[in-house]
Amino acid sequence: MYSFIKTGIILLLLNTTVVWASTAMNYGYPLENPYAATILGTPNDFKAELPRYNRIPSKEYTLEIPDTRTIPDVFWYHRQGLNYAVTAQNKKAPLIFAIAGTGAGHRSAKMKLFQRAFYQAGYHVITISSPTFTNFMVNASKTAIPGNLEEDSADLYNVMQQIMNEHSELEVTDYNLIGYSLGASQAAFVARLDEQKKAIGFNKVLMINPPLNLFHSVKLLDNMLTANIPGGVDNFNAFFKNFMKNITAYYREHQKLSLTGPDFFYAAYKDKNPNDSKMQALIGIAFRMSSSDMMFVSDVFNNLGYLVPKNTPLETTTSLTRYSKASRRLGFSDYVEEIYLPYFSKATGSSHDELIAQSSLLSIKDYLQQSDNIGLMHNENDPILMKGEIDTIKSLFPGRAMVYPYGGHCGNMEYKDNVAYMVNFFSGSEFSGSNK
Amino acid sequence: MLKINSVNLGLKSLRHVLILSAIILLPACSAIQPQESVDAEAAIHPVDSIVKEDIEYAIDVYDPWEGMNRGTYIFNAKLDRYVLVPVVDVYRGYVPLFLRQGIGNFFSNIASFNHTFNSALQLNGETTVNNGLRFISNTTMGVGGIFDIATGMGFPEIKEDFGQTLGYWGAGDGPYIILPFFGPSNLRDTTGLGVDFVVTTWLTDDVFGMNGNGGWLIFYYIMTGVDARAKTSFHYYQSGSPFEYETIRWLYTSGRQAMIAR
Repeated sequence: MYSFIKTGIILLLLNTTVVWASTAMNYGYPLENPYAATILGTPNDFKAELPRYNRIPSKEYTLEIPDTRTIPDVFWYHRQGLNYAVTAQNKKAPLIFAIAGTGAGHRSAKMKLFQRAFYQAGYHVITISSPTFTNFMVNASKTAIPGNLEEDSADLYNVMQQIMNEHSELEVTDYNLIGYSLGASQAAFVARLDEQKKAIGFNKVLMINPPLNLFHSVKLLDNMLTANIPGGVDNFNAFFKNFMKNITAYYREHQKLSLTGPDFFYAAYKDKNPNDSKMQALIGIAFRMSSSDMMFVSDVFNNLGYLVPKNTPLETTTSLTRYSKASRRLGFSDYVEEIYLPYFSKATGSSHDELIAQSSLLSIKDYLQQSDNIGLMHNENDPILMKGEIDTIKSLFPGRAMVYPYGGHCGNMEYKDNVAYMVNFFSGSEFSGSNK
Repeated sequence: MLKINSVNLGLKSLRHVLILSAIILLPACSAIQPQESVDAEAAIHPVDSIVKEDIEYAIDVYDPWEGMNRGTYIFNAKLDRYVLVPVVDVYRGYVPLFLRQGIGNFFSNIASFNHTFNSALQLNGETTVNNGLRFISNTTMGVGGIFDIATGMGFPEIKEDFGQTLGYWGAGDGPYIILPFFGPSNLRDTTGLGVDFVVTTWLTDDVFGMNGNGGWLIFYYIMTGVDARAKTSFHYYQSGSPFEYETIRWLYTSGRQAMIAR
C-alpha cells in the first residue's frame, strides 16, 4: 500500500488521551495500541537485525504475460509486464514465494523484510505483488476484478509457475510460501490449489495476519475513515491541514533531535498521544487510497462505466484529478456491492451471500485444520478483525497458531521475536506454535 | 588556460540554459481533460454527482500546465528507468559503501553552505548557527566534508534552500512545475533552485578554487546527480496508484509548505 504516504503523512497529533500502557506479558514489542502499531510498525530500536536491502542481491525481473491483453494508454508503464524480484542464493537452497498484502507491490517494505530475513536464512526469495496491485491487475489477473480468493490465487499460482519456468538457473531443494494480510489468505488458497494440481509442491506455508473474512475486514476499514473524520469525508482537507500543522509544529520544536522517518513519528506519538479516532482515520485513509486505486483500475481496464463513462479515451497525459477526487469518495464496500458481487454472481451463479462466505477462511476450514504444514502468525488485537474472529482463526490452526498479544495489523512483523518466529517456522524442524 | 576556461564557460552556460529553459519552456499548456463522448451512456457514478463545487479538496493544486507537466513526468520516468537507475545500480555495485558515504557527505557539506546562507536570510539565528558550525566543522575536521562529524557534535543537517527563503518572505507556491531531471517543483521553488545554483557555484568556483577546471566540473555535476538519485528511494509508478501524479503533486506541495512553516 502507499508506503510513502504511510511514512509521509502518517501520524498523529492532537493532544487527546491514549493509553500508553506499560508492557504486559513477556513480549517486548513496544506498541500496545493496535492502531499505533498498525501505523508505526516497529521502531528502529526494536527491529530484527537483518542485512540492509541494498546489501542483498535482489534483482528485478519482468514477466511478459503471453495472453494478448490490451492495456489502456493510461497504464502505459505497466505494458512491459508483471514485475517481480528474485533474491537468489548462489547455491542449491530452499525457495520461498512471498505474496504482498492489499494494494501492495512486490517492493513494499514488508516484502523487503521477507527478502532480507529469508535471504539471510539461506533461502531463494521470490516476491510477487498483490493481485489488487495495478501492475498485477493489468498483467496477470484473469478478471482484473480482485477480491475473489479462488480466482486471485489461481492467477498467483499461474504466475509462480511461469516465474519458475523463467528461472531454471535456480537450484531449489524445496518450495515454501508466505504472505501477509490479504496475501496470507491467498497463500492458503494457492497451497490448496497446489494440492490438487501438484505443479509446485509446497513444503511449508506461513500466513501472517490474514483477515477471517475479507469483506468483514473491508467494512471495518471503510468505517475507520468515514466514522472518524469530523463532518465526514468532505472535511478531509481540514483534517489533513490540521494534521500537517501539528507535524510541522512538532518538527519545529524538535528539529535538532535529527530524527528521520519512523523514529520521528514514533517520538511524536509517544509525546503527543493521539487518540484512537485520529489514528483510525489515518488507517482508513491509507486503505481508502489503495482500494479506490484498485477500483479505478478495474473500472478502466474492464471498461465497466462505473466512474469513467464507457469508452472514454484516457491518454498518457490526460488529467485524472477529477476521477481521483470521485474515487476517493467511494469505499471498498461500494466496489464489493456494485462491481464485485454483480460480476461474480453473474459469472458463477452464486448468490451474494455465498460469494461473501467464499471470501472467508472458513470456506476452506477442513483443509486448513488438516494441513499440518500451514502455520499462522497473528495478533490478538488486530484491528481488521471483528470481535471474536481471532478465536475462530485460531481454531483453524490447531497447534499451529502463534498469536501475539499485540502488534495491530502487521505492525510487529519487523520486531525481532516475530522475525525469528517466521524464519524458524520454515527452517526449524518442529512447530512452536502457542495456541493460547 | 583559455581553452580550459572556455570549457568551463560552456558548462556554466549549459547549466544556466537548463534552468532557464525549464522556466521559459513553460507555455500556457493546460491540462487535457478527459473527453467523455456526448452520446456515451453516463457512468454508474458520474463524477459530477460526487465531486462538489463548494468543497475544498486536498488533492487540488494550482497546475495550469498540467498537460505539459504530465509529459515531463513521463519523460522523467523513462529517463529514470533507462539511464539513472542503471547508472546508480553500477555505482552501488562497484563503489564500496564507505566511499559512497564519503561522496554523499561531501555533497551534503557543500549544500550546508547554502543551508546556512538561507537560514540567515530567514533571520533564523539558531538554525544559521547550527548550519554554519556544521559547515565549518565538517569542512575542516571532516576533511573537506568527506566525514560527517558535525551530526555527532550536535549540529544535524537542517535543510534550508532559497525556495524556502522565498516562502518565508511570503511568496506563494506559484504554478506547479515538473522539471526535467529534477522532478516536482513549482514556480517559487524553481526560482529558488536557480539561486541555489548560483550560490553553490560561487562556493565551489571562487572559494574552493575549482574555477576553470573543466574535468572537475563534469565530474562534480555527474556525481551530484548520481549521489542525489542514490539517496532517493522513490521509483516511478511503484506506488501502483493510477493517481500517482496527483498524489506526488499533493505531497510535494504540502511537504514544501510544511518545510517553509517549520
